[in-house]
Amino acid sequence: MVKIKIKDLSFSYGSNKILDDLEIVVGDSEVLGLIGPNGSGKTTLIKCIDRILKPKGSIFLDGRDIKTMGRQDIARYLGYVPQSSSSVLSTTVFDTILMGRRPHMGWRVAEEDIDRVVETMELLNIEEFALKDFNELSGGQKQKVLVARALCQEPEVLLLDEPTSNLDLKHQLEVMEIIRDLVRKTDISAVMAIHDLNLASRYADTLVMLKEGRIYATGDPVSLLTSGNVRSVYGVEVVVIDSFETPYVVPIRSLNGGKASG
Amino acid sequence: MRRMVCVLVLMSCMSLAVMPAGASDYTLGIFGNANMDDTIDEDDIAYVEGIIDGTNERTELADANYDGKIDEEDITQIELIISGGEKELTLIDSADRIVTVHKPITRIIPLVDRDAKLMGVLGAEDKVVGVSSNIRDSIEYEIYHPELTERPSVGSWYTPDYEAILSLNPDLVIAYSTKAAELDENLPDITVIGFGSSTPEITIDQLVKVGYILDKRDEAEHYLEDFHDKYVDLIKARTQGLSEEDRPKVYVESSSGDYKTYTSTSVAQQLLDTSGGRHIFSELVSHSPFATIDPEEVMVKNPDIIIKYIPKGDVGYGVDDTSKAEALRVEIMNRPELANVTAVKKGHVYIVSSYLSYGLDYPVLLAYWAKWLHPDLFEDLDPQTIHQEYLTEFFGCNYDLNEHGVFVYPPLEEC
Amino acid sequence: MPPETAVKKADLKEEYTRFVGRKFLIMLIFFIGIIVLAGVAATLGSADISVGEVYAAILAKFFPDHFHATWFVDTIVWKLRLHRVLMAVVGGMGLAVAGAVLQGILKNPLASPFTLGIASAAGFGASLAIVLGAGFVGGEYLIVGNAFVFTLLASFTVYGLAKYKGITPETMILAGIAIMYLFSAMTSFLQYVGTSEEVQEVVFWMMGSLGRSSWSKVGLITVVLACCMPYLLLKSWDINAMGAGDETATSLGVNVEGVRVICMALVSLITACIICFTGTIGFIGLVAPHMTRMVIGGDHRFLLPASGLMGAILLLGADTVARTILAPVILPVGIMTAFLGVPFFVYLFMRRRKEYW
Repeated sequence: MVKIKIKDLSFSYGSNKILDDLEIVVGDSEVLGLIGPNGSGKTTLIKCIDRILKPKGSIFLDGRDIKTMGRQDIARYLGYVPQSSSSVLSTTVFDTILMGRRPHMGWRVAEEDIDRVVETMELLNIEEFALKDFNELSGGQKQKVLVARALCQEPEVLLLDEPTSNLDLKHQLEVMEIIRDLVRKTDISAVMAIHDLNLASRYADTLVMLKEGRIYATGDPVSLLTSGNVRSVYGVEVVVIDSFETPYVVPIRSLNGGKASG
Repeated sequence: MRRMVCVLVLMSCMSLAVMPAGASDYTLGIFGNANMDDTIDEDDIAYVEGIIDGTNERTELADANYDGKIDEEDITQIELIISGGEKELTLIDSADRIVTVHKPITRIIPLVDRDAKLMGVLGAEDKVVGVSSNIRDSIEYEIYHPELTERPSVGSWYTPDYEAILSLNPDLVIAYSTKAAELDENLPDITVIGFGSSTPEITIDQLVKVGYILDKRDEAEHYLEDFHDKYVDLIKARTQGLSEEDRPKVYVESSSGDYKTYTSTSVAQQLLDTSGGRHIFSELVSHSPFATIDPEEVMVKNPDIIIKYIPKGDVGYGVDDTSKAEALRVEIMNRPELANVTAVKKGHVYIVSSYLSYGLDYPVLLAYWAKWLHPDLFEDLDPQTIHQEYLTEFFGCNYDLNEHGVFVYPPLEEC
Repeated sequence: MPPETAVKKADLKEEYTRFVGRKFLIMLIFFIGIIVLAGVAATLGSADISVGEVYAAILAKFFPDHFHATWFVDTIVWKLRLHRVLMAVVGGMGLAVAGAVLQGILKNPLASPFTLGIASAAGFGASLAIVLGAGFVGGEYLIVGNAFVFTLLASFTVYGLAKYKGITPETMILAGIAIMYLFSAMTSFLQYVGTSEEVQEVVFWMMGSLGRSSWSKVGLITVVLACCMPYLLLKSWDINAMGAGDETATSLGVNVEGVRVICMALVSLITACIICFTGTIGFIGLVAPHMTRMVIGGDHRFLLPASGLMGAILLLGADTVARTILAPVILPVGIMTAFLGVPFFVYLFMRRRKEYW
């Protein structure tokens, strides 16, 4: 089943064109990585998909045109995990995750909602923080909580905006593992904007490389991550090592002027 | 000049101009005063008879018993009013409310201090059973109505304590006009009358009405004839014929700030007109009696006399030394912008206490002003004696003005 | 699932249930507090009547065969004291809920019903009535009508300005500040041209007082609260979500702009209804939600009603002190609540902890 189909998508902030003429397809149980340098539009694209921003073009969720869907319906289909979240209010971890049940809840919290929250917490190994204040957690723990919240929406697709940028090595790996496991075990898919090429390489099934708001290339990590592509898009000279399961990109040096050539 | 015009235009645009009613069309607002003059007497009976047989026009006040009809019963009511035996009296208060008072009135609570003085002049202070905190704490009352400061307090005039009022079981509460409706709502079954004495005419009107309410018409008459009218008419008579040039130009400054003067709707204007002066700012027309003006204007207009009010606490009742008044006078005379003004050059700068205002002591104030403006015309007039008469005759008070209290500076003997 | 996990899961659920239960308990305590305080407040006043007589008079209305009271006690209790006590309760409740909602939708801990310029507008309306005698409704409702209309006008203007630039917390607060200064300036001008009595009246009005309460006014405010509260409670989850950020809230299905606008409209309505009768009573809308948050947490499902209860307690307490401390002189309640604000902010300042703001 095609979870998400994006056609002719473009978006501008005022007169600045950020995204231009994008076409992407996301299938079942697939991890799709969006890669590209800063400013290439990764985060904007994620927000466009979730209708936080309103782009031109069409987006189809399981064949339905997103424009015909109500906000709640979209929230039941797409689970958004922001880059970071600092809540000004003090909330417990439990309540933060419980928020993810909103698309399914009325005002009353049902037994089922609580069960779902507990299960998700167990899945991500964060039960011990249940009644602690969210703001007191470390970056990695917070990220897990945000993933848990998105999972509680029981979405078909998880949208993650740079899930690992603020995390240490251990937590980066943990979060990525969790996402890949989820995708493998259920038929949830994930679309994540990620700047670390190696994590993208290791955990994504498909990669979409964005350059200046347009798609430069799409494909699996092996075919996409070549030094030529990286040079063109990132303006960086790299060496790609093929001896591991998935390609490993080793940066060498930045090219003169810093601008991508070609 | 242009600045003056701008100020005027601005004030006229932004505020409503209110002119006080002329004294000549005074109507006593009590139901029974059928011919709409200033008293209730036989003429009113005749007038009502005229209405009944169709020769006279109906008037609002002809309905003496306020039952909506004009008939014999109204005549009976008027007769009772004249003899002082009526059970009910309906009148119009200062808030334009129609109030029916049930007589006899034996328990009164006045909330504003000016109204409490009405009781004193009419000899009715024994009927006062409670007072506002303003009255209790007032120095003036310490002096001439000490028994009133002992009465139980019912809170301030603005936020009275209704429970305290109810506990004293009054049959008449005299409130400030803007608060009258509110008090009425919160004090069921108690008659609330609203007074707002902001001019001498209104004060007199209220005195007369209270005279009717308390059956003290004679005392009211006595005050009017033998004190108020006597002196006011005397002064008026002598100043009436004065021509423009004979009237000195006067600048009056209020106690609340430098160059805060009075407009044409203020009592100051009236005082000057009666005492034979020319108000240099009489062209100021405004809703408010106050206006702040440009010092340059005073220089340009060059007044012959400057009169300045000094706040109550600095001199007045209970203050025997003149130092504050003196200091104030010196301050004015030293203002560089006024150095060349006639009033300053000739030393015609007078300080007067804010205690003397437009209440029942109005003749005293008027006398001082008349004396300052026309010393030659009023050589036989001694304002301090008038003031003493006011205190002794009407309040039975021994406050010897020769020994105590400072109300004007410099003292008259030195002028 | 393995037994230990099952136990762990049950434990967690139980812990959460207790956590929620605690919040209900706190609200119950607040509620009882109001009843007790109201009971005490009804017995305080200048008239010399005993506690027993007060309660007898209250009960006499419902059980006339078993209890009776003299005309005097009945008048004092039913015509003076009770509606004032109830006015404090519903007024405090309304202002506190309004404050809590505003703090939630604007994500600003210093937001209160007066942040959006509402208080200044009401003050201007009252001044207009008092000084120039101009207004929308004649007669005794001149001041009330003006205060109400101008309050709503201010909110509407804030909304209009914000819509132009996007309805975010920042634009709303800035617009609110601009409106506040505008109306303050106009009020000052009116005070300048007013007579001293008029100025005094304006000043007193702006200090806030429950002395003008009446049964019909209490009834009106209660009806308004009864209509607005259910909607606000229903939107508690949305307000919670908005606290995590507009984007997160949108992704969870919340119509952020729409909720913000409707909440602001209801907050304005509630505030306008209350302050047109009482004058501008500050701090309740600011302090009550803060204090409540400290014990009950930031979940608006509980915070809104609990703030309301806390607001009722605060205003009732303040008014009772205001009318008894210098009896028979009655202090304006707005002064009492302002005094409340000072130690509270000193306390916040001293704590210097990041949580709970």
